[in-house]
Amino acid sequence: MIVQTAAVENSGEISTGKLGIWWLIGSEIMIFGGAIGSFILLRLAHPDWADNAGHLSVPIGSLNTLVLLTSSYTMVKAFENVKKRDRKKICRFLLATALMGLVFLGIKSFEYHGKFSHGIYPNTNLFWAFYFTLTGLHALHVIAGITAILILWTFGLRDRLWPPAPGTGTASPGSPGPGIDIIDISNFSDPSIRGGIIRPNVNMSIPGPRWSGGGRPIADRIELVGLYWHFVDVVWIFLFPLLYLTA
Amino acid sequence: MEPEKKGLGYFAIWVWLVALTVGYLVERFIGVPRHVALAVIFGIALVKALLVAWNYMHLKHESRIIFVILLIPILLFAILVLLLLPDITLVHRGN
Amino acid sequence: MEGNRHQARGNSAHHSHGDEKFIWKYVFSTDHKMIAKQYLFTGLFMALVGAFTAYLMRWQLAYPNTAAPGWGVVTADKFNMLVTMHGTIMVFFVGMPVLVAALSNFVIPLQIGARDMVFPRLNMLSYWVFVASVVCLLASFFVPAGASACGWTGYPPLSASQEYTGIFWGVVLWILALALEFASFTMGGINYLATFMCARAKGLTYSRVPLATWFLVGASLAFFFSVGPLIAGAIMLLLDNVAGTGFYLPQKGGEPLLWQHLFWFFGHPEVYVVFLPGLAAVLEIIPVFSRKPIFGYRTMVWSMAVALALSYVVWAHHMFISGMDPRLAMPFSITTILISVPFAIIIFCMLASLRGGSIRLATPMLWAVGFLVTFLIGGLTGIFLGSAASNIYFHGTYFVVAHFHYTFFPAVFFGGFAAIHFWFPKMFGRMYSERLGKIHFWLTFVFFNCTFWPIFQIGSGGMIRRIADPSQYRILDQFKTLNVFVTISAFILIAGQIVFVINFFWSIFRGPAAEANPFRANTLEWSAASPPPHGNFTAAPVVYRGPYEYSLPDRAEDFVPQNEPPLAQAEGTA
Ligand code: HEM
Ligand SMILES: [Cu+2]
Repeated sequence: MIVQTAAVENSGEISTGKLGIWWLIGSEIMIFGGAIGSFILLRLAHPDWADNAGHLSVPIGSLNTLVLLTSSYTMVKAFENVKKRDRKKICRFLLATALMGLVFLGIKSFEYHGKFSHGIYPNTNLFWAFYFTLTGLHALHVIAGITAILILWTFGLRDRLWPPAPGTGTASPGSPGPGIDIIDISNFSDPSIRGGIIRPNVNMSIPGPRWSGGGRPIADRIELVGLYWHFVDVVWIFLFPLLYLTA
Repeated sequence: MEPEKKGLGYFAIWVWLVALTVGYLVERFIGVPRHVALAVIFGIALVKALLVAWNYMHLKHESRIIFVILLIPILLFAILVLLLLPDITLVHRGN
Repeated sequence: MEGNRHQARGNSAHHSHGDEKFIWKYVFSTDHKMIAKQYLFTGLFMALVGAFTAYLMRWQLAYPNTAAPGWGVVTADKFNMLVTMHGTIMVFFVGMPVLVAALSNFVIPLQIGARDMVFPRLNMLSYWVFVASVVCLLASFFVPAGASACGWTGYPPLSASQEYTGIFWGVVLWILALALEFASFTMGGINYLATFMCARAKGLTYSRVPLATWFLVGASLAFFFSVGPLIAGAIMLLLDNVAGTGFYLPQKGGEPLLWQHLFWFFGHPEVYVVFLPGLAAVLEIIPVFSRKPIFGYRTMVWSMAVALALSYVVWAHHMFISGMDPRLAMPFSITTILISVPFAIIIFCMLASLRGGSIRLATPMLWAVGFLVTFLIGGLTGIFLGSAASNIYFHGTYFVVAHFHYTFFPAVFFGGFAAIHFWFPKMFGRMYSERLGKIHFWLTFVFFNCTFWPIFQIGSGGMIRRIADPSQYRILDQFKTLNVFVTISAFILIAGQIVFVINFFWSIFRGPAAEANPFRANTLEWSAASPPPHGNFTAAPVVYRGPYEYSLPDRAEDFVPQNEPPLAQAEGTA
């Protein structure tokens, strides 16, 4: 039995949760890659699509890009405050991130609405088909991200990010606390054979109360959701010039 | 692990990202030739993506295994697009 | 709740925990072994559906336009539907769940000495998403205009617009079913890969991992990185159907070939997704039943890695006559021929592993050898299809049908049955009947060959695939009796599976109790109880050696389990 304390740092080791998220991102790259790749191939074949692209508003697109970039910044600030165990700030930054995600969606639907009112629909022609498919697929990811962030936010509000310090019954923000003692009986892996890369996983650790999700504090998930959110941001960073700026 | 005093770093990165985004627009105003413009646009996008991945996604602290997980799909994407160029793109352009 | 279930893991956990409610134990289980069984049973159920479609098609091909018992006349449009659903079901709903999901779930954690997958709840979710996918697919039989009839490859423009087949809901449900299936297996893949990377027992270095685990992980990798573009492609196909876009419709500026490329970019690795797990089982069985160390462990793992890498750049060999750019044919012919090299190496290593061993032809071994023989035929006939020149002649004929049945059937059923029999004692804690097992094998082996061997001849004689009524073509009259022969063989082949069903269910409930290590094998799963309790191992296994140390000269026993300490150390502690 290995008794470990949960001190999550970037020491070159990664948790299983993080590994899972990176695998997820890897598969998402292939999904977006397939869609974006198809667009690139056909876009190169049709220089005349520039006319259609000209209908997209670059200022609005740029604004949306800025919104999403800024939300990435607030997300990473939330993560930064996990290390400092500052619950208030975490909540504030998470909320800000989610709100900016919503603003992004709002602007996007404003754009959609503008297109519809000009009689432009996905079936108008191939360019618009790609436009609505790519941005729609991306918007779905934004919605998923917002949902995850808001869930974490409610955990934060209810002070469930860390298990309570012993005896007090509530988490103790600010103080580093004892961390959680996880009795790892889930696997017997030996760090030496993993080149110290991956932390032992704790999925079957003796279950604590509800907030110790899978043996790890909920707070750890902020980093995971953050990774996903930044990925969604990166996708937009490429979608924006591909669709808007090639007129 | 306190060598990474990144509180300010994150902000600086954000400033860079904003600046690069505005950079797109500048390029529009001065009106450079089209292929140069495209190179600049996608160069900027690449730099921005790398900035986010490197700093916000902490790739600079991450172990090699993550790079493997990331590079395989990126490579496959490149292969897919390159191999399909003759079949999808060039055919439509008529050569 | 959650907590209770997890505590119920001591070795007595099996019966003593009343609080482990039926629904948590059998339905929404997070135990990898239960999830493996769920996948197995779902897959075997779908195999029945797939076999039924095969029966109907074969009836129609032998006795055109007569009523098939239990259904009625198979009309031309129904035939198209049956072909489509047969291919889809057999590949995606039998091959994938039985070989990829059930085997990976059961074998990987046990062989690496983990207590469970690293994401047990994700694992459960992946199964239930798969169930939703199955429901979608089966529902499509009953919607207006019936199931999709565009072939299992769903080529547009046929599949992209209702106006070609008259089928709307069938196609939409078909796409949705595939999408859900891909989501499910992506979750599964994340789980298998992360578990493999993180949860190996102490001492289980990469060079000590059993080959079965290596090959299962390889299958997951093949799936994982190839499926994304097809998901994107499927979204576009869906939109073509429901939103009137024209991604694949030439009249709207779209490009049907794009789908073919996206499909086969996934499709070829997919062949390995079902093939590698079959190989995984066979590789594990060979050393155990020939009591010899495996030959060329490292060579095989590296060959697999090379094959995986190449598998992403061979896809267009499915498209030589599709009208794609002829300049692409050359490079794809070359990579296709290259990719047979690593597999040839693997096959030779297997033969070398068999050579001079004390071979015991128990049921799992019979299936393993049967796999080798039949797959070899499939692989050799693939050479004709791999080079563009002869492909142009064979493509679209029954030669292709025979070829891919000679690869798919061994992988899915020979490999699958090998695995089911080999791990049966571990899975259910009882032994199967050796006698019934052998009868089942010989029935399947003989009639499989009777069914598909003549098809090579029919195909090279010019019978094209996916035709509903061969009696319409003069040149096919010569194959009338042969087609009847094939059909009757196919019926016996399908009926022969009843032997398996009896053996399977009788043994689950009535078979003699199995000991922990009935086959005297080395790998870690055999050091757990049969069946292993929730949590698998009572104490942390520690691995001291490679997985294939059989018949060592300095040992009394002819096998050395991986978790047996080295001699000196054992004496020291004793
Ligand atoms: C019980 C044994 C089986 C029989 C008798 C059988 C028979 C058939 C027949 C008659 C066809 C239609 C050929 C045509 O008209 O073009 C077919 C197609 C096909 N079969 Fe099987 N099959 C069997 C097992 C399997 C298995 C195990 C797999 C794969 C795991 C499989 C995969 C396919 C595929 C992919 C197609 C092509 C469907 C299409 O053309 O769209 N079959 N099979
Ligand atoms: Cu292929």
